[in-house]
Parts: sequence; C-alpha cells; structure tokens
Amino acid sequence: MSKRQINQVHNSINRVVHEPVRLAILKILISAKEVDFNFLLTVLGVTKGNLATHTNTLESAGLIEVKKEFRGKIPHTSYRITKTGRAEFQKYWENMKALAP
Amino acid sequence: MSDDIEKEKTKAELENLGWLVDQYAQSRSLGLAVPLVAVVIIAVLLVGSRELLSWKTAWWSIAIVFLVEAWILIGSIWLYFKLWPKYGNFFYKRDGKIKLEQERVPIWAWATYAFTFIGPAVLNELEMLSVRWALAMALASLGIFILYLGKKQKEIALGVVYGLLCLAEAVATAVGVPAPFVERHSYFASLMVYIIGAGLITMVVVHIYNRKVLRRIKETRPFGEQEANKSGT
Repeated sequence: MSKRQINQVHNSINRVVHEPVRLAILKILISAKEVDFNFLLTVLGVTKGNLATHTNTLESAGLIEVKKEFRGKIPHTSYRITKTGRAEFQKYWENMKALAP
Repeated sequence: MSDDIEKEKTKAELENLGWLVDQYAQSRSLGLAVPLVAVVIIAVLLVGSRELLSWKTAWWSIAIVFLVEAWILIGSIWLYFKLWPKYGNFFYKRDGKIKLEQERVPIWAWATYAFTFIGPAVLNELEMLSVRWALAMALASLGIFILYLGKKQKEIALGVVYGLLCLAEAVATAVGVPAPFVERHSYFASLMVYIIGAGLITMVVVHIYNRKVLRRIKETRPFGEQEANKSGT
C-alpha cells in the first residue's frame, strides 16, 4: 500500500468509532437486539458519567438509538444499534484490516 | 510495528468480549424458576385430584378432576404467554438486561411438540401404551423440543443442559430404570418429578456458568476504569 493510500484510509477512519469504549459499546450492541444502561455498566466497568457521555456521542453521530422510559417510578434507558452504526462499525474493521501489514 | 500489534490486540480483545457477552446473554437460567413453580403447582393439583378420584368415585369428584385438568391445559398456555415474557429474566435485574434477536418458533413445531408430548399420556390412559414407553416418549419429545427452543430463543446453555437431561431420562426409562412414584400415581407424577428434577439441575448448572462468564467479562474488560476515564469524547 502506498503512502498516499495509507493516508486516505487514515482519513476515512471514523473518529467517533475509533475510541476504545465506544468501540466496545458498538461491539456489544451489534450482537444484541437491545441492551440497557446497567448491562453496559456491568460489562464495561466504566463510570456512569463516562458511559453516558460516550453513549451521547454515539447517539449524536446517529450510530445508536436511545430509548428512555419509566418502569414504575424508575427511569430505564436502553440502547440499540442503528443501520448506520452497523455499517460504520463494519467499515471501521475493514479500514483497520487494510492498515494491517 | 508496535502500533499494529496494539491494533491486533485490541481486535482480539474485542472479539473475545463479543464472544463472552454472547455466552453470558445466552446462559440465563433463573427465569426458569417461574415455569418450574408452575409445574410444581400442576403436579400437586394433578396428584391431588387423582387421589380424590381414587378415594371417592362420584360425579362431583369426576367433575373436579375434569375441571382441574382443563384448567391445567389452559393455565399452562396462559402462563407461558403472560408470565414468561415479564419475569423470564427477572432475577438478573442487578446486572442489567440484554435482549438478543430471537427467532419465532413456528406453529408446526409447537403442534408437533404438543402432539408428541400429550399423545403418549392419552395412549397410556387408554391402556394402549405402557407407562414406561409413554414416559420415555414424552421425555424424548420434551428434550428435543427444549433443544430446538434453546436454539431459536437464544437460550443455548439452558436448552443444551435441560434438553440433554430430558433425553437422558428418556433413555434411562426406555432401558428399564424404574421411574419414581410410577406404581402409585402412574404416568403423571413420574413425568412431573423428572421435569422438575431436570429443571432444578439446569437452573443450578447454567446459573453457575453464567456467573463464571460474568466474572471472566469483568476480569478481561479490555477498557477498564482507568483507560475509560482517560478517554474523552
């Protein structure tokens, strides 16, 4: 791969996806239909604030869908991956493969 | 070069995380407690009503047995559609919830299962099939259906353990291992004992496996607290 091509691939990497926690969130959501906030907290071991910030970023980029509801008096938040999110995740892996020697 | 190694490591860790999450989500068993409690109630009602019939054969005792058995049939269907979706994962609330893409079980599969599960009981009542073979057939039908249901409903661990236990019970009965209570209450009590027994073993085994997977997820968190807190948005 030429230097120019490598630069092209580098430029096409989605910066929203290219972050460890967000990448892990997408990886979990890709194999599930719906995941709630507590499950992501349990699995990833990040703080509540940190997780909320990352999910907000993913939501703003249109990669995930957020569903907020009340179960009784308790708020409940769950997440789903969008079609764009799925496509971006696949594209990200392809770019990573292309960069590998 | 070290960057490439790092990328490969991250990829491998992510693949591992995905696999573990999948295993965790497919090994939930405590929700099985709901149908098991229902089976215990059914067993008590069945044995009780049959005891009543053997104690007093009058029109009212026959009517009670008929009503109880009709209620069991209707109640079981109601229970599956009402309680299972609501309390299926009830006990795992603390760890959060994950829903997997489940496939619909076709009507023909339900019908085949119902026919092969209830059929032997009817044949046994009509004295066309011995208790031993009726029991073996019903347990084999249940085992195969649970295996199939586990695959479709993404409950692989539960399906494999429960399904194989039922099949083992069916084989044991077929080769002549005496079933519990087989003499006193004939077919039903033995079937219930086998279903409840296999269910309890499954609950314990799958629950232990689930906790083990959760522990592995926590141990291998690729992006633990420090790393995650460092990264911005």
